[in-house]
Amino acid sequence: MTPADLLFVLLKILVVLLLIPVTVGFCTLAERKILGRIQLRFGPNRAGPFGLLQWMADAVKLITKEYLIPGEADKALFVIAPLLTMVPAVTVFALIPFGKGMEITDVNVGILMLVAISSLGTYGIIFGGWASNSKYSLLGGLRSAAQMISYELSMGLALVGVVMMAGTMSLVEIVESQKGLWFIVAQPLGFIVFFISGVAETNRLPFDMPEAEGDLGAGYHTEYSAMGFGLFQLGEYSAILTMAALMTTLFCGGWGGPAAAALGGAVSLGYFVLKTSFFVFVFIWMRGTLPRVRYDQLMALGWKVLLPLSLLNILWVAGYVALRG
Amino acid sequence: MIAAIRELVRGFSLTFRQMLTKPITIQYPEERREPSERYRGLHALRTDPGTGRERCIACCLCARICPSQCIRLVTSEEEDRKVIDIYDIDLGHCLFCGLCEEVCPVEAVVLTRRYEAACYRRSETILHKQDLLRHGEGR
Ligand code: SF4
Ligand code: SF4
Repeated sequence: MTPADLLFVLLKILVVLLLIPVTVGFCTLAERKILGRIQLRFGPNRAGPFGLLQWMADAVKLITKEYLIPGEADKALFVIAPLLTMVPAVTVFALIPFGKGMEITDVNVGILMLVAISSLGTYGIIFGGWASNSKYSLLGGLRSAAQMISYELSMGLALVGVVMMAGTMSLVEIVESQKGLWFIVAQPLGFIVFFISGVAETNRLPFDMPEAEGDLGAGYHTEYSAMGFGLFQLGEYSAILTMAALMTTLFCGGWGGPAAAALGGAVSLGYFVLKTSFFVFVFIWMRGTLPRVRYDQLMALGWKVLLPLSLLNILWVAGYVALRG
Repeated sequence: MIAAIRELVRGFSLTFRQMLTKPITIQYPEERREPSERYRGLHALRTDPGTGRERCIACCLCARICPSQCIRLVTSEEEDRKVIDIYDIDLGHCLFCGLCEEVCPVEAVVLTRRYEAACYRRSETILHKQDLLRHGEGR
């Protein structure tokens, strides 16, 4: 790798790193707006035209507030925990092809790396819950751990289906292999399993057990204030973006679309952004519609429904691949 | 299973339709809500439109009937009638029952449809005679 190449990669990383907080900001705004409209409200509309600057106001507020650390807390872990949720969620973007030839890096074991990195985020939540030294936080952390273990499994099995069909683990090649037929059509079951476990992984309603403001009082981040809380939020929304981007990449043809391969560049990026925003919208829509499930229902769904379904999906994909040669 | 999916679809379509309807929020400082005719808001003291004199005859019935005892009256005699010198209503105690308005024999004290009673200092929660007369202008 020549220095010029290295510089180019660093530049790409910088651009993505700068874009993520802004995108996350607009995500929170979109969420508040859409939830507002669902509940017949306007949502934030005072900061800037249509409230477009609301996220900046929020960020400034969070940064300027006092960072409180509870006296009984485990100080080091307490500070590290929010970073631990945010960093992995952002790191995953290194692997995602945003457009034709627009990925930071193409790892040939992309999917494995992705699963490895994205499950690190759970540690942040568990540590946050543990370090706060508060019963609600600890319960939130525990729930998070149990939830992750149950859903990571079916998610991994859903990914096996993708790998079998694409015959590769590199995300770039997976996108290429969906040129003819999107995997969401070829293995709808796999997509459903991936989607539901993806929602559970990101702790979104209806599976926001670790947070559960109703019964745990915000769960793992009860004790966090100012930027610690801000980082947790940033991590959560980056995780949503990641999940939406993954659904796009793995099941909906990534940047592919009519004329994307030929025109490349901006057009393919446009398709990617469009599809990803759609999934982000679905995440928000779901939050506005579904109630939180009970904890035992969550576990039952994970182990008794999703796991068998994902195995069934593998069977289906195996048959599919064998028949088509 | 089928029933569950149907319910899910119904829920999602309902929230989607809600998203497209117009919000019912009243954008307060720009838009204001019009209270009903019978709304019981801040008090006012009316004046006689003909002579411009206060209608109140200082009978003190309002102060007597007030269930929370929040009207303070000090009266004095003028040449042909009694008048009030001090008429204070403590809004912090008032429960806006409207009994003062009902009992007043000359309809001097009334409850208006004014509802913006927020203030910065505790002393401002007490309405004095001049405030009440100002509220009563044109009634
Ligand atoms: S409205 Fe009721 S509580 Fe208030 S001053 Fe009149 S009588 Fe008293
Ligand atoms: S406001 Fe009415 S009830 Fe009260 S003292 Fe005056 S006349 Fe009497």
